[in-house]
Amino acid sequence: LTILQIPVENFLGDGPIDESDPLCYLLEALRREKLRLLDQLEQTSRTSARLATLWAAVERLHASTQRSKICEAVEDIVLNVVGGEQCAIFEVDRSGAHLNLIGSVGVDPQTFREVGFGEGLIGRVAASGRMFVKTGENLNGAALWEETLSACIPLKYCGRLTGVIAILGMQLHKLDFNSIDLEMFDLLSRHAAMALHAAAESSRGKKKEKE
Amino acid sequence: MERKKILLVDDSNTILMMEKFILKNDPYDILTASNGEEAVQKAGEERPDLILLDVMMPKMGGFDACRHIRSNPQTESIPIIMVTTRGEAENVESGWVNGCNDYVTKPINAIELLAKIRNLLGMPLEVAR
Repeated sequence: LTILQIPVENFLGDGPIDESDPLCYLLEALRREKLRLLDQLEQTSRTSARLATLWAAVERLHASTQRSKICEAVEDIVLNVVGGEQCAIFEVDRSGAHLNLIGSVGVDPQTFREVGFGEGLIGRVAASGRMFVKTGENLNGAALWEETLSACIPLKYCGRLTGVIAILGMQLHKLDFNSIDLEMFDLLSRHAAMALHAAAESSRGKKKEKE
Repeated sequence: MERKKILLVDDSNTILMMEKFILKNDPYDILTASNGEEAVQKAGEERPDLILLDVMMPKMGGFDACRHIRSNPQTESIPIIMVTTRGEAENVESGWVNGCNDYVTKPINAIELLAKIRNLLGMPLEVAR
């Protein structure tokens, strides 16, 4: 161990080591160090994948100030990263009492064209500002058209509800949401709202310029 | 030393960005394609050293693209890594049948992907760095 320039204390883990046999001691210490490094590698890999996923999502969401492009990015993230089957994106209308559909994939736009606050699970998320994530069969209060709802994410800009993302259905391989999905929902809640707000501001600015 | 060229193929821009992020510290020139047809075309024109190919894509899926690439004498020997969705074991089987060299599953494990790419390109870790 001295030759290897590794402090002996690093290897004194669980279980007894036969200190009377130096080679046995060395082998056991190296075996433990290998396990520790493999574990560290696995954790680093998971962290790296997590960061890559979140970074790519943020880049995509803020790559444009066009509302349609931002909706495309949200749909891409929901379908290809999270593993949802269908997606509907809503914005709060001027009255502040309804959600208007501004983007969707895989759902009938007519069915989801307008949702009142408090109406079904999507409307409840809008009214409460609290995220809904399906666990088991908890679809109490769901409207007929929400029977495949898997998650509903409130969009918040500066603490104010600006819209909702509904994820309906899940791809076959996807049995439940993992911790990265939940981090992604949190990211979408803030960054999709921010990107859509920037798009609205940009659109208003362009209109003013024309006037 | 000559930089290796890698063609990333996926219809999702988010997945392409993730793959680029994972590969950005290694000395590769990255090309992208968003469907199987474009992949076959770019493989013929650019002759990449390796292709990372998604299974589910519009126009032409990954398996068909893999077959086309293998049937062209100019591209037949390019190593192909298929990107499949976890839990779809039949995709892995189809990948081997259609001539892929290896596969990774989504969500992509960065270290696994880098190791497989380096292995197929014959680049030990120190050289890749």
